[in-house]
Amino acid sequence: MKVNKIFLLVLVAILSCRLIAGTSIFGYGSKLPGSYQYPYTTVAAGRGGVEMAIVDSMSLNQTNFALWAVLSRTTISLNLRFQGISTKSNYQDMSSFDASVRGGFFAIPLLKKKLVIGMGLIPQFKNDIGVKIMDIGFGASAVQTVETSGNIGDAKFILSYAPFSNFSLAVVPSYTFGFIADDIAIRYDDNAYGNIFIQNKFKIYGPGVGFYAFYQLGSKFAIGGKAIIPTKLTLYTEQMSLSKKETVVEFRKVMLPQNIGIGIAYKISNRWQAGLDLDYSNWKDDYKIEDVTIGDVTNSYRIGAGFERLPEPRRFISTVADITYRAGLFYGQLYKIANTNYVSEYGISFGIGVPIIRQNSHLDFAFEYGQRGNLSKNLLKESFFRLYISVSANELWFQREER
Amino acid sequence: MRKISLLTITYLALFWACKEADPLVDPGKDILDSYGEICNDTLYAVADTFLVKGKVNTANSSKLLLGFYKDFESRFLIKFDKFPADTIAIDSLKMRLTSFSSFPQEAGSIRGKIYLVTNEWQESVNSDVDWDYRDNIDYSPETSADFEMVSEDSATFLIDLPTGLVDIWRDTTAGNRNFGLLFDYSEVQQIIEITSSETFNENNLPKLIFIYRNTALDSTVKDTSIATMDASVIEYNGTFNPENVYIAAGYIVNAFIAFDFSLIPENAILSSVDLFLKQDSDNSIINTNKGSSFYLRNVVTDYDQLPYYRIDSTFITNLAYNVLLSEDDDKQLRVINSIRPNIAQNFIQSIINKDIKHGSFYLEYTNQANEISVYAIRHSADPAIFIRPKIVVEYYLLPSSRI
Repeated sequence: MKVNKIFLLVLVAILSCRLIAGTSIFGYGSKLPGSYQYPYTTVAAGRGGVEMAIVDSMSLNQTNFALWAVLSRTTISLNLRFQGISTKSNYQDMSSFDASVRGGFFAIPLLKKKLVIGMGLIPQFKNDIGVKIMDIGFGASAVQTVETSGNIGDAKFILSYAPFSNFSLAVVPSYTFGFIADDIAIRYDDNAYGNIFIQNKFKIYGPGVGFYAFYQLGSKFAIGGKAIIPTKLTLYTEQMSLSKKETVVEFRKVMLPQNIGIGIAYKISNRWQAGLDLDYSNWKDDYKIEDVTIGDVTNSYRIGAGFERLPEPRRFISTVADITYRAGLFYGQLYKIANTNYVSEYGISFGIGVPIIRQNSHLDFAFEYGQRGNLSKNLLKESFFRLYISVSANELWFQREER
Repeated sequence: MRKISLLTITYLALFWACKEADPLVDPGKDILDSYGEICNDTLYAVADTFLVKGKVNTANSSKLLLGFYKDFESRFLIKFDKFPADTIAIDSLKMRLTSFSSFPQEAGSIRGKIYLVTNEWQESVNSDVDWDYRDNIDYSPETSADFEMVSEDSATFLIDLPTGLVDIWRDTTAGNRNFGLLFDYSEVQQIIEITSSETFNENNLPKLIFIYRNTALDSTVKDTSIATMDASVIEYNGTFNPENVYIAAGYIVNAFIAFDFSLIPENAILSSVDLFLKQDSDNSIINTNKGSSFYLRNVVTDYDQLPYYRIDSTFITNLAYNVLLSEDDDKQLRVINSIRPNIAQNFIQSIINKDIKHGSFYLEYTNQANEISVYAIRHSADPAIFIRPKIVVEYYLLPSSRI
């Protein structure tokens, strides 16, 4: 038991330390907050990111908090991800890797399967990329590099309530916060031109709220949905350069878009269930800086479909029989427009769930492979793989074991 | 609870994990807009003029100028203080002078007369408006001598002088004093440059050579004396056309040029700057012996307050404010290549930043006393717009924020 816990903590430490950081090139751009991170868990990643309407009493759902109401035990979940991205342009092929936390939550049932409260942190945007733009000078050739790093995440405070056994809802106030730093350099080849260095620091913060609901129709169908209200945040900017003595400080308002989602689940048999999720964000109209919309964005969506084979209902038959097997597909459109064209993303995923510690905790693994962008349409293409791991623990982590 | 705390702290610490250097993606500038914009602007002078300061103090000049060319004429004064003892009768008296060059460099010779000076003068005599050589020389033939100097570079001349001059200079009775000699030219269209007593080359110092009989040794002795004072007396008899713009040495004329730097955006960060001042060869009297190097200073008074003006004195300690211009192959004065970034990012940037209030400049020859030269520049109302005085600035237009 102790060995398992130590192993988990070591795994957390290794995976969370970004040895080489790199996020999607499609998250970079002027006026953009970074690469958007869909909130789904490792469990959901295995079935195409689907979890809006799929009940899971072992892990904490990060897409639909209304499903927390079914919990009867105090639960903690931590999701980690390692990803590799291969970026191809007409100028360069390159690879980058990134390991990071995908969200961590804990939930405490105040009334078993009725009222659950909880909180956690989840990344919303990631920025870890360096770009270089060649030949930008007039009098002499210059290269501009922009290295940007930092995350925007949400601290969420969950109140999930099930007024009926087949219906639950959640209200989730959140506090968005993040820090992003840009290091910009323009370097000339010619010594008649001086290099230019600028540093931008951004702090983004402000409250938001989301509403979640779940409804079970009979024993086979379930439906879930969410609506996250557009969030108006404060954007604090510090800009420094050697040429300008004063640090330019600015406070502005940035509006993150409304996000809605809907999902359905169907229980095919005792051991098979399938689901489909749709996630949609209204970037085009809602994403604003100082009440002005940004031109180079479009509405983003993601459709995921997947299924899973559940463990043998009779427990402790064999280790293999206790494993959950998952598979799925996803297709979507990113919010960034590249080369005046929309950017598509699609891929497949597989996953497994393994119970540990006498069925009270769960380890889940998922693998995604996908592509985004198109070399002829977007002039950029990315292939990516993602390895997910999550640990979910129930009451044994918080109660003494009886001897 | 300890386990929850441990896991939560681990998670929080790693959520904002350390950043390592990213590989830089080169997506191609056609698809990824550079952050900010490199701009290259040409500012044409909005006003220009010149001020005639006139006579220059030639006390420290390393050359003595003699001759007439165009509207300039120059004579020089020279004085020796060491002579053989009063009892010694001088048999021969010669003056040894070494030419530096001539202006313009044409074959020929300069003839003239040497006169005894009858009144006191200082080495700064050229800037003394009350001192006129015509009122202060003895024209009598006994104290005068003729000379001829060929206009060759680095030629040595031995000029015979009346031996009686030594007796006059040695006689201090009845308030008599030694005031030296004046070299005057006859008709000539050339100015010869003679090495003065300020030269570092001892062999070229102006000398008096005394030859006399030493009765004790019964031998002929040759003795020398080095000039202790000398100064050119330069006159300009022409007029500077007010429609042109001039910089002159030997007879000080300074140019003033104003630019409207408000045309450069306040958020510009400069990388390079160059100035283009096209020579107006029709109105110039270019001394090819004089290096075409000029200083550009910042005028800290409003341009419309001319002829009253004040120059920013910080150029003495601040290299960035000490702008050296030199002529290129197209006969344009330009900022020296290697100092352009420094001048751009400090001097001109300070004007853009409004740390320096005024965008007008003062131009002078780096050495105004050594030679005669007039550099006329094409002015701001020249019909050919592209040869008007202009400043070319390359800068990075910094957006207020990337996000």
